[in-house]
Amino acid sequence: MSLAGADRVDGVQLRALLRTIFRARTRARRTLGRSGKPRGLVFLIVVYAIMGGLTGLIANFVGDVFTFAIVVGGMSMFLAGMTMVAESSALLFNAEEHDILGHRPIGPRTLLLARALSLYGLTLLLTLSLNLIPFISGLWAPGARPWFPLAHLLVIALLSLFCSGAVVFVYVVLTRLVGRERFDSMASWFQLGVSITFILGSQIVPRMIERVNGFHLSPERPWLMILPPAWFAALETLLAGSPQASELPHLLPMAAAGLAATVALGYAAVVRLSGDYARRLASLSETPVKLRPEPEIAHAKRGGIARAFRPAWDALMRAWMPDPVERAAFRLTTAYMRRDRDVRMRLYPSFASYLVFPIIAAIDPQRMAIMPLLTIVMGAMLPASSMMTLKTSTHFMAGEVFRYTPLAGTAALFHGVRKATLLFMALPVLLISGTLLLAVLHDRTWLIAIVPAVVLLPTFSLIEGLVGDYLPLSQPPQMGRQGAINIGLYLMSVLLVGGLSAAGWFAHRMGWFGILIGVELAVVVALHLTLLRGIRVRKLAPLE
Amino acid sequence: MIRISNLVKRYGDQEAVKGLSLEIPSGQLVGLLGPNGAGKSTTIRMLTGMLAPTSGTAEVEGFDVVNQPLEVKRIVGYVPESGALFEALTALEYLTFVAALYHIPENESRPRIDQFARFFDLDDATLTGKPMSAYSKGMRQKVVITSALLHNPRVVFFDEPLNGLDANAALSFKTLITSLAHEGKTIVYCSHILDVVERMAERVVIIHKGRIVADGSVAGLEAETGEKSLERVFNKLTATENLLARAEEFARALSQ
Repeated sequence: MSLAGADRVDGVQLRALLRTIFRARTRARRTLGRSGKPRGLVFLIVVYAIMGGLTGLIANFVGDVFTFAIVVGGMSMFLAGMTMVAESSALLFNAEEHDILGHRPIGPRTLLLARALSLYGLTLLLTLSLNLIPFISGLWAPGARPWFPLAHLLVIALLSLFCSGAVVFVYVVLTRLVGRERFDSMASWFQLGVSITFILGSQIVPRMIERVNGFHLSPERPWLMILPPAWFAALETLLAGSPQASELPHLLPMAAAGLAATVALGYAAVVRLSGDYARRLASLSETPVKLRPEPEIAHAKRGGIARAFRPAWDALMRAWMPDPVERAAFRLTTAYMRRDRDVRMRLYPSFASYLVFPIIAAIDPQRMAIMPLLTIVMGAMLPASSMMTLKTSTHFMAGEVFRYTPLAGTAALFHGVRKATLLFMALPVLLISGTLLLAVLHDRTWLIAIVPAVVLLPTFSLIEGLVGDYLPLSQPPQMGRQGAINIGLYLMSVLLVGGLSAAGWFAHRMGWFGILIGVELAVVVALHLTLLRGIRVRKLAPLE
Repeated sequence: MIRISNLVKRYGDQEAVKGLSLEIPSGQLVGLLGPNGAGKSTTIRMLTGMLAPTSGTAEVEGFDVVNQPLEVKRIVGYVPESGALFEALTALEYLTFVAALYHIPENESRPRIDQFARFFDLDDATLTGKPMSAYSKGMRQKVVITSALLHNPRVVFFDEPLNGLDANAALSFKTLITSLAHEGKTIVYCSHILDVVERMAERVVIIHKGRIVADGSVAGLEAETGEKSLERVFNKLTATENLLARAEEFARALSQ
């Protein structure tokens, strides 16, 4: 029997781990008597293929391969990156899996490589789905060589490797820099930072494209050197485009930067830092909740303030949520939003979008009028996506409590969770992004267009209550589910909010704005009451 | 042989294990007892190389758990209290996977899996036909136990292994443990079911608040404390006072 040491990768174990992680993450999982089919990943693949198909059509309009590659690469990086950030916590830091694998003779490098490759596999699956049409449509980009599809495949594989390598690297560095006590909170912030970087990196470039003889972005712009999508677009142009001689001094360093960054990130994460990863993984499942001794005075002061406000807060909560079941669901949800690492790491990257769009508004003054609209799209999405996220937990078996306690329906649970997300997610985020937008927007006439969409926001948060039994934290996390939720709601929000805002703008121009809002208010109030009734009368379905 | 010297595990300002020292010779079946939160599972996790001690040393069959964790893991088997496994897999897939982690080829692992399946009354359809998420708790526990023994470990740590097992399976399992001990395997058995430990273990170690408070044979401990059963010994050494009064007060509060 030959077993590998801790410092090298064991091929037999790596293959076994990859096969098992893939099966465990993609197969149906029976929960509380129901079989959960892995629809999330399939949905995600189909949606990505459609979105990629639409993006791929720009090949007919772009001026060259570089512009095509940077737009498609940016889109791939954005969508795959967001899904990956949502999935990475469950893949890389799964405390439950430590009980299964922690006592087996697996070296830290083998374990980390298996998990990193699983993350890469997911990323590649998504980016390939997204690029099904662009593989072919890229041939229509001016200057594309006949072997463009092969070059594009190679570049997309590298770009996916870069994205997954970056995420793994960030987490592994975090495990080295931050002690166990602060890891959970820091991981959430790091995740937010990575999400912002992915969105910014992918959203800024398309906004800088000039409309000169079709859409064109010159690789000679110096700031492109710091944008990862440009690195891989440069590589693609060198492999399968027809760059001009004057562009080569700019393309070569960018392509080299992409290759070097990909190799460096992978090497540093998997080879240099795997020991730290193994140690952190071990501590995740072990450390008790109370970690840091707090100075007595500070503790007493904080306790004193909390005690002083407690009666007022309780009275406010009782007035807002007279039903004790609703208040209990509210408290359960807020506890998980604050304390549970898995929930936090799936929930908080949603914040990134809110912070990014105002930033883009500030740096892209020509197109900033669209920013309030985009922020409202995200605003519509946030409570609904948060509520879907809060259906899932690694402690899903505890959801049985809703089955054996005398609950006639799920309305109280649903409203408790909804109010928690409105108060602690939607409200602060809308306040921050609204303030940022007001600070950077000079032409505020566009704000009038979003009023019809704002009117719809409270009703939008009720939709989740009509889809099956809403039992908080009662479903196991499943690969692709979070990404599917985000993308699905995003598309629905874009259609609804976009349509309403277009109608608002048109009505404003025609002088019918008051009539539109009046009619919309009447429809929305009726819809809201109907939805509330539907949720209230919905019975808790018995298990199959 | 397991040799522990001054083993400490600290979380922030909380000391879960406070300078444990212990030697367990090869082939001994030791019952490790203690109330909830005493530090039993933490000690076992350190001995299996899953958790790094804060200070002190521990060796399993001559391998240091800090400096040679992989060597330790190759020779130990562990049944965790959580009973965690990859539930989306069938039992056969899971056990084949575990075998691969120990470099046991499939043509060798399959006969061993079949042997365990027969022992635990798991038929082929159960083994291959459905994911373990559809199993009862007892069936899952049988798979967890099998996965701990599949590689024929020299040292086995059982943390509440009877969780969910029915009376017949529990009886078979207890017989299995005794047979394993007769074959010379070192067995550390953690449980709250004291009569099982009393009947099987040749030596009992009781941990309370991270420290060893008793170590010896059942008869020896009974003689030392003047109690007539292991349960009374355990209660005397670890229980908080006025248990009966507190239970009565609790029942009264419920009925009010």
